Amino acid sequence: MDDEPERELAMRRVSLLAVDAAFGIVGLTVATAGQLGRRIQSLAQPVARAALRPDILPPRLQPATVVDALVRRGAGYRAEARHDVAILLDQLVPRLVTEVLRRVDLTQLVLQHVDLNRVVLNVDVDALATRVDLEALLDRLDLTEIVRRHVDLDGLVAVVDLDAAAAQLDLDAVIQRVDLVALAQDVIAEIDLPEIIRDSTGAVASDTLLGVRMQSMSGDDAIGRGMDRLRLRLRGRGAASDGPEGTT
Amino acid sequence: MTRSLAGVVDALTVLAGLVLAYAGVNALVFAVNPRKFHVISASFILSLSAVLLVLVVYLTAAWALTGRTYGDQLMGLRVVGRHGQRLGLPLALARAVLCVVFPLGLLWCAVSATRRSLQDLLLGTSVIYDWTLRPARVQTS
Repeated sequence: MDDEPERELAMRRVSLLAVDAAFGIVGLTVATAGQLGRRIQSLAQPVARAALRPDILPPRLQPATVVDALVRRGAGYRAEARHDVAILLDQLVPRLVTEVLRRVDLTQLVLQHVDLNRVVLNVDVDALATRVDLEALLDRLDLTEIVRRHVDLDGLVAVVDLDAAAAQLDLDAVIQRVDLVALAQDVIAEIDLPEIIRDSTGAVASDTLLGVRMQSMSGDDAIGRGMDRLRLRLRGRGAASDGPEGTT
Repeated sequence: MTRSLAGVVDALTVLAGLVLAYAGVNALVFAVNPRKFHVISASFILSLSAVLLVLVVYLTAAWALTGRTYGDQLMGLRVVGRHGQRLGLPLALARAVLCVVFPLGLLWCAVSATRRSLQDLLLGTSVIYDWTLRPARVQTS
């Protein structure tokens, strides 16, 4: 049971050794090739010079001159070709990119392969914020409407301890700032106090007077009735002594 | 009863007026010569005649000018002539003098079937109720 991991470890070590050996061989070969190349270059340089610029030929006909002409023409062709290729790419690349993007979900790709958190960590948010024109932004927004639509103001007010806030108010200072005398004078000026007093006292007085008049009138009536009864009785007594015809 | 109340009010009014006048005269005397000031004392006869005189003048003026004294005004009474017109000056003066000289005659109105005093019977005048309910004032604001 314990042999399994050990064997695996040994195999990995062996494969690492093989890889190292292969790298060693490749490195050695490259180094050897480099050295060989430099040796050949140093040997071939005088030969090439003699071949390309033979003194027996006039300079116009020397192979180097021909080669130079060829090189110049080749350079011209190359520039031309580069220009053509640039034009071609200008036309081709946007279409290609469009086609590619149409087939690839870039957002998905970025989400899968980019560590956005790390990217954001590198962003200087402060510098960004200083560049944002907050005033212009606020001008474009109807903050009142936004708050009204999205904020539960009633709930908010219910949570706020208004009593505590009111307890912190320095009412004395507020009252000192208010010109109470002027305020009271304004209020009194607005109210027609004499008219109100006149109305109310007039109403009370007329009510009282009405009561007194009614009482005295009923008193008059009572006296009148009493006198009538007395008169009737006196007349009846007189009629009784006079005779039966006085009873009416 | 209404008339008695009105009479009481009138008597009080005249008395108050006289007291004020008395105080005013004293104040005037005091103001003119404070050093030798002493309260003016009036004899009973003088006071009584002053009261009666003022009462006569007051009643005459009131009945002749408006048909009602202050007491009548309060109690809603009016003194009118035979045809319900306001009393002329002679009639008013006569009624005032009779009332002041013989106030007991006024009590006859309680006994009289037509509620008229002896003065009224003599002069042909009568006292009527004259008041209406004032319409409630409309609030303007």
